[in-house]
Amino acid sequence: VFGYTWALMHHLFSGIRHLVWDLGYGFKASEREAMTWGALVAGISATVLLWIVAYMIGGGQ
Amino acid sequence: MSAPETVKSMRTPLGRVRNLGASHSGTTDFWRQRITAVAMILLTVPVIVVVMMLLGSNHAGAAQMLGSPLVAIVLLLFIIASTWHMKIGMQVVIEDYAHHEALKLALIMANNFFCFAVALASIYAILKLSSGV
Repeated sequence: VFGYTWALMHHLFSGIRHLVWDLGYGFKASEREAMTWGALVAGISATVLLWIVAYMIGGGQ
Repeated sequence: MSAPETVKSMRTPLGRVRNLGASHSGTTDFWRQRITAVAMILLTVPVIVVVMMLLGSNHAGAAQMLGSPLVAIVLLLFIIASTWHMKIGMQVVIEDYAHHEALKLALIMANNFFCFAVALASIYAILKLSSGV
């Protein structure tokens, strides 16, 4: 389930990256690199964060 | 018309492209995929909040919460957007990678059945909890 959360989160942030490209922004090489790394890092961060919050709320159940 | 036409056509340029394209539906799916994507971006936070609120609650509590109007509507919207997005996304993969025409049509049909079944089962569950039966 942890892996699936990461898959969904990575899909979400990569999807936002593609929406930005659809709008015509961020096509420079540096911007492409930054957004790709950003999506990877954001996906991992969001996944870890969500699970920390889940364990805090669930009280380790 | 700049180029000399050897065969006179009465069809307008729009009429020639209408109903064409590999999918026979033009850019409809492309646009739907964007609509459902943006919808899910907006719905992500409320859906995560709902899932977090379910943590630690028992069956009765969870059923009551999922059946409350606001939660049910948010989840229904998310179910519709996500299963639609899922159906289009998988169909694009099939269209790109299934090279045998009959196999491709069979896979697209199976994909439609699967996504529709998932959507209907999920919607049915939410409505059942909402109606309290």
